[in-house]
Amino acid sequence: MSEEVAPGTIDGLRAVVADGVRLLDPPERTGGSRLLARVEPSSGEELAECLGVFARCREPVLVTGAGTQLDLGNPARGVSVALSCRRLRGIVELDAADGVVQVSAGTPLAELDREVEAQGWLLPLDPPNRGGTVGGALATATCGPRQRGFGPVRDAVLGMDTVMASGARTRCGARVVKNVTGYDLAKLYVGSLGTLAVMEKVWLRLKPIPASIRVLEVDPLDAQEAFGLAVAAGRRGSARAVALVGPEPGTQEKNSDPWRLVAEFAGEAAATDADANWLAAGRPAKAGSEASIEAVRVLQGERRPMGLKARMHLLPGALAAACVHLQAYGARVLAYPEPGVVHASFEPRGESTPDWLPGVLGRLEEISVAGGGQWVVEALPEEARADWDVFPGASGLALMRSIKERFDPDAILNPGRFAGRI
Amino acid sequence: MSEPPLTFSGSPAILIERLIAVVGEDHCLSRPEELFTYGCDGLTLDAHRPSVVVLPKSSQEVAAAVAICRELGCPFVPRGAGTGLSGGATPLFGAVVICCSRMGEILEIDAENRIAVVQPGVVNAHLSRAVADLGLFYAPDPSSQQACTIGGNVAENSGGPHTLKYGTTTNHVLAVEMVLPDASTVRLGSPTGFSPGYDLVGAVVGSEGTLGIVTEITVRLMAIPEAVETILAIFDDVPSACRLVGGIIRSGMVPAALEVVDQRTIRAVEASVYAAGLPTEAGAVLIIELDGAACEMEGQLARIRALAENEGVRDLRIAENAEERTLFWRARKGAFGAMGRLAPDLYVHDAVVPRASLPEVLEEICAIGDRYSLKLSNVFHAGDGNLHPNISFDRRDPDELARVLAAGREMLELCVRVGGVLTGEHGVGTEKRDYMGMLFSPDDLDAMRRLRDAFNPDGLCNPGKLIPTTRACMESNPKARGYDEVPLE
Repeated sequence: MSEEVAPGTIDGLRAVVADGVRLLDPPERTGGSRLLARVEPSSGEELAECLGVFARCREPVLVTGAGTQLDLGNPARGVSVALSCRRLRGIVELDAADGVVQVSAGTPLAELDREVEAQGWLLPLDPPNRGGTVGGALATATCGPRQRGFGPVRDAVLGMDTVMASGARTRCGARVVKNVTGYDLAKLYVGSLGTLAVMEKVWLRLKPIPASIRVLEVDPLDAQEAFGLAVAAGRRGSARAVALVGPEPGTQEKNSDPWRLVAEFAGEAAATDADANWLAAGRPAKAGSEASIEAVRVLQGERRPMGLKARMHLLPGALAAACVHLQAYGARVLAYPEPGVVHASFEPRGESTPDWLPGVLGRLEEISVAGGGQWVVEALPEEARADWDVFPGASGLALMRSIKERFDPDAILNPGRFAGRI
Repeated sequence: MSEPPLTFSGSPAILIERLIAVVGEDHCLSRPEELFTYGCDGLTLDAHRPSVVVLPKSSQEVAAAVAICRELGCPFVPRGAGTGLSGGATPLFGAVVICCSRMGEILEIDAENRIAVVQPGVVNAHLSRAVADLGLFYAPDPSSQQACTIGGNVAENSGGPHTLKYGTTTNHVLAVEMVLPDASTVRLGSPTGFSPGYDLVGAVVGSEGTLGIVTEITVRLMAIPEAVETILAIFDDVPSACRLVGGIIRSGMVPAALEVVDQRTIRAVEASVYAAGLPTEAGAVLIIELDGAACEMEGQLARIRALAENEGVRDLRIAENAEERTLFWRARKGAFGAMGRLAPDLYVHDAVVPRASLPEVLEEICAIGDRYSLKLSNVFHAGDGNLHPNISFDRRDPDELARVLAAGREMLELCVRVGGVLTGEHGVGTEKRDYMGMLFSPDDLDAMRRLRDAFNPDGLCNPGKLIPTTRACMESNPKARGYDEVPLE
């Protein structure tokens, strides 16, 4: 880790954004990095000029939004300066007739949610942490319980204005809802943890506000019934969120029916009623609310300092066996059967991290392979972050490195954060 | 940055001999009359003679063919059924055409997990047919779906009428196996739809065969909806139909399809084998398709009826059964074929505009057609704002051809001016490569070039497409070289 900032960097940044450079004394520990300074540009021009300074000085930079999801990914390598995009804020254009919005990347999600809903539309982004920015939600591509209804994060993005590591301002995509004009670079940028370019503003596709929402909670269920029912519920036409919540580790012996299903149906009233009635038929279901979904989201976002969190992507047919194994191995399990995502949390039981962690990671790999799935680690004990790549088994790493080398040849943007420590 | 290579200047005899050793004599085409067929795709205004055409049967044969091309320094071009409309499969620089049409097997159907694994030469419509008995279908449905291949659809990120609700090919491809330009084979993505790292599948879909050759595709299948309603809304003019589209979008309904057919198209269709009883005196027909749960249909139909009446609809016809629905869609999807009745040639344009601007843009596009004295018709995916102004013409008339190209450029400039883009589903290829500057700055294009070079550093894979370069512009230009001008010798 560098102990000081490359000569000329701070002066260069001050020349660009005098009121937006702050020296950190004592240094700040954030996301595994020891930061000596923070810069916050307030416009696209300033963002580009700041990146020009980093490029000229060959100073690597930790790019962040609100800084709420820095646990994700590997720690950045050798960064002493953070660049926060949170002053790039506000809606540029909201076209209520077309259902699209252009927004600056640092805009808080909650603020955009409100503005969009006031115009009769819905923002189809659902990260577990609602306190972040739009750019952060796209860079991490994390999704909460509503992925079934909203689709993957990348599907919400129509176009992007970005600044490259060189400081060049570029654009891809557009405001229209269908487009094959050139390479779809936005697909690469979404989920890239800011390692290829820095988002300045984005065009997003909105969804209609549903006329009717029905939330149901069903419990208790044994594992076999729970997974069959959850997959079927997730395939109902109006399903927007279907979550299966496992018990706290160690409690299942006391309760033979430990699983709880939370389902949200959204759309035309006729469809949501039909789907809710189907789920409730002959089962101990009770009506839920937005709070039920929020509770699931909070559970997904929960972080225990000494714990490990993993996200597994599995085929629906492999979910039940994988979740039962995970639970038997001591994990707290939260599963979204459509599209086949399992969040598993582990905590050490008195063992030290070096003794405990390799076994858990090995077991996760076994379970993932057995289920034909893929997985990533979403949180590790701080002390272990430097030693373990949180993107195990990434395929196409040589291509990824080749892309990174061409987009960011001097490894300025979030070096080391991504798969293979790219 | 790499420039596309110069025209292959090695020994054709050695190239052919080496390729025959890989695919066999029957699947290596080198006679002039054989090569003629592969000189272009559906963009017949820009044809070039390939060095040789190979038809591999497996991923290993594709990799071996690519290795030979690389070793001998010969560019190569992947091809599916050749139904593309932007020149993506056109062999510039004397390229070898690697045609995947023999790789036509459906390798796996997994109904429980709703996925299928296919070779790239599987015809789009065949997959939906193969899984229909399981209650499933493959959603992307380009008009050419009876002929086009899924490999070609991946290259072009093809859409179709039902992309309004179901998205384009990129939303349905979970994983690919591909042969990279260095002849290595990689698997990208996973059947779960997630893979740690950059979204390389997202980058490959729609890359127009410039990043490698896809040799196996894992796709998502969808459940056939419980109920479908297909409605013909008949209007006096196109802008009224477009206003209804805007009203439906604003209402929050998401129909499966919203397709506009104008009067000239209706008349061509009704005079053809695709006739569906569309009213030939109508100014426009809007095909509205709703799908979903049966209980939703009645309410949505009532809302559509009310919105249509507000826009002065002349008549609403609802398909009474599956046969009638098929007839409506046959008319829509056969529209391009029916245009053959109007003139020897058809230029199918493709651009997208914000949906709210459709009425004004359509009027202006018609005015451009009139100004250039062209036979213009419109049949388009109105729900996506995806226009297809079609110009019927005779390429043997140089003056008319010049007017077709000039009008096309003006139409694209108009679409870009209102916030639109150059292509919604046909791709850039050679057709729009030199227009990319209308939409993108040099820095924007440089970022695209960086992605291409990460996969295809020496530029041998499908050179001269998508990104403008001086050399590519000299090699290929739609007005410079027509299909019928490709020398046989």
